Amino acid sequence: MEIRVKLYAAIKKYGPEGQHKFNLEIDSSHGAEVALKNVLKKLDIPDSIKFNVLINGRYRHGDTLLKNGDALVIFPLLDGG
Amino acid sequence: MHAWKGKILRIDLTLRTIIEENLDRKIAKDYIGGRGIGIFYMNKELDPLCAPLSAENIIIFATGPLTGTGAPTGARYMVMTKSPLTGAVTCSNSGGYFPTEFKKAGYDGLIITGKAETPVYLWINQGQTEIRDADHLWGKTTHHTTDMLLSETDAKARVACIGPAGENQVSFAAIMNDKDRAAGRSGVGAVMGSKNLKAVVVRGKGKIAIANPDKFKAFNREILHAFQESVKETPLGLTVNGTAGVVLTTNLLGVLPTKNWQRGTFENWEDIHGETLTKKYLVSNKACYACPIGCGRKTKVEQAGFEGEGEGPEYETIYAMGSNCMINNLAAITKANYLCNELGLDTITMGATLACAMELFEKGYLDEKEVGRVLNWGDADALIQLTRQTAFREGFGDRLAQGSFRLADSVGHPELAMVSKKQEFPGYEPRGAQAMGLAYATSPIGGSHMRGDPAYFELFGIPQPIDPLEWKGKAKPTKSFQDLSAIIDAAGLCVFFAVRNLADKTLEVKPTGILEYLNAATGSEYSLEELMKAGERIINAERQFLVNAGFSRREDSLPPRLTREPAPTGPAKGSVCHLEEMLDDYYQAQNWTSDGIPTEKRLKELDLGWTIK
Repeated sequence: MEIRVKLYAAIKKYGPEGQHKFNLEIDSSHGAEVALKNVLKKLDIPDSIKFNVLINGRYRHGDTLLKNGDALVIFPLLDGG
Repeated sequence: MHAWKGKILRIDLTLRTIIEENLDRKIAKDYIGGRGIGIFYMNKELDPLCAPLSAENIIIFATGPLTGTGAPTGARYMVMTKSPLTGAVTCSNSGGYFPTEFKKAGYDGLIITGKAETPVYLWINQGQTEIRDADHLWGKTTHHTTDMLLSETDAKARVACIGPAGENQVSFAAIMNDKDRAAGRSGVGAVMGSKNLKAVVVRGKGKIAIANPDKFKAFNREILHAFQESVKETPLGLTVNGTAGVVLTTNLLGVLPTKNWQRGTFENWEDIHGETLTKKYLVSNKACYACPIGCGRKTKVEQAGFEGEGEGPEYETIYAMGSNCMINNLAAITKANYLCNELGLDTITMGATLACAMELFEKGYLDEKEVGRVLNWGDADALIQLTRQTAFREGFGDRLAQGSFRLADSVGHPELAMVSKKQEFPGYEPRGAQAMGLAYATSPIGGSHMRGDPAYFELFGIPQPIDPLEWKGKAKPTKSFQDLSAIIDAAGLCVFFAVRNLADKTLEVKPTGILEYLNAATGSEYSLEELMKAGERIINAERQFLVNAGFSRREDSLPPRLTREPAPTGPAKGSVCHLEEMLDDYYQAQNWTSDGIPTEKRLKELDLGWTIK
């Protein structure tokens, strides 16, 4: 299946080949289910950076199972306002 | 006393009396300081039904026990009075250097009553106070006033003053200190103006005593170290891009109010984002006293028509004057921010009132003749022109000066004012952030995010991300964040530091770090329970001021746009804010009646039986 990924701000530079907007091909043959946390492992975001993840615009926890065509948005934890 | 100065300064402008009195030790401990001490005196001494711009109203400046101690962000003071915008209490908070200087001059608080016959200013010089003539300052901008006062008092003094907007009693005039820091909201500047009080000038060289300096210093080192580590985890945070860095977050989550709150996404968000501000206009950061963050922005704009130098804009200004008015010209927003600082206006209400006027114009409820010009969405020149006109109440500015509720109501469409208790909202859309709606509706000052900010858990993921679109289970964390804000505001700290660094990491946000600081500084031996109860006492004391002024559930409201019209775009598409359901849960969590009135039992538990009228 294919997941659409967008990275923002300080996370931007950790995409494959420096890309911040890309599609991720994930092997889900034989009906294997893929959790968000396993997809995040495929990205090179350092453990030391705190970030938030949205799936189709909603906060979701790491065990959430992904579907073909899901949009993943990853951005650093920012506060203030 | 330690940390507290133990003294309150009282000035009656009618009688021209200056009296020093002691701050009762038990009151200090029970109400902490700042916002707590302020509401104590408001309830004690002010008729909640008084006219806000009459001589009868009082205005209180109050610092907290941690103000000026060197505790990180212990730089703040609170301005409390009865608001001309809302008719409720104000909690207008500001940092910079004025609050610490005021405290070093010898006082925890200042209570101003009466009305001067002609313009005056106060010169508080190390325990000696004079009421001085201010005829020569009337009409001057906040910057010009500050420069003139420093040259006629002491170059090292600090100034809090009003500009033309306060003099003209614009219902959302601010009090500006250190030129560009604002006790911004609810029209506190108009109350100063109504009293003919142009400025308060302070010079203080006194020490602020710490009960246990070794413990205080050791804890300070520990907290600052933890803060520096946490900064590494969140690169490009507040220090780098200021508060405007969250334009990214709010637009992604579909809660960046756009076109007078018709929707929560703005296609040109990158034009007004904090990263753009940093790249194009930032000169340097500016930090308040003892602040390791430095979210303040010194900026400079060279673009023709918007040239200027000053401070800002912050996120709230950018939402209100930017996406909300469909203006993507960051130079114009920055220039309008400079004007607000110099003329003494609240940027949030200014921008939000203009957005409301734009919608009224689009729908034909206002015409070109009344406005004096065409007023289309996205018109940056209108932003500049009408900001000036509002401060001076010229032409259509005289109607904008009343805020969006009275403007929309005057043409028969109050539902188009995006307000709670007649005060304009900050920049987080409740259809996509349910608890924000609850916080706006129940904030004692009306539309505000700073008196308990669910944006932390709904939008920023602090201490943990909670689905912003779910309304169930939001009442308790909202109450906890409100209680925490009361403690932060009373202690004299800044929300931006204290929520992340001085509270525990649960949704109860217990004020564990503030407890350590308060006990080391004051020697008062608060238990965690006592401190949390003090926060609840402050929230309930404020609620009692509102109840006694005639407020109840009816005023804990949001405009129908947010509760009945589904969000048209973004992640919140199709959603409305479930305020009434959350209010039921919230009143229960507070032990208030279903009409939003604190019960006698609850008030007695908090030693507030005396506030029942």
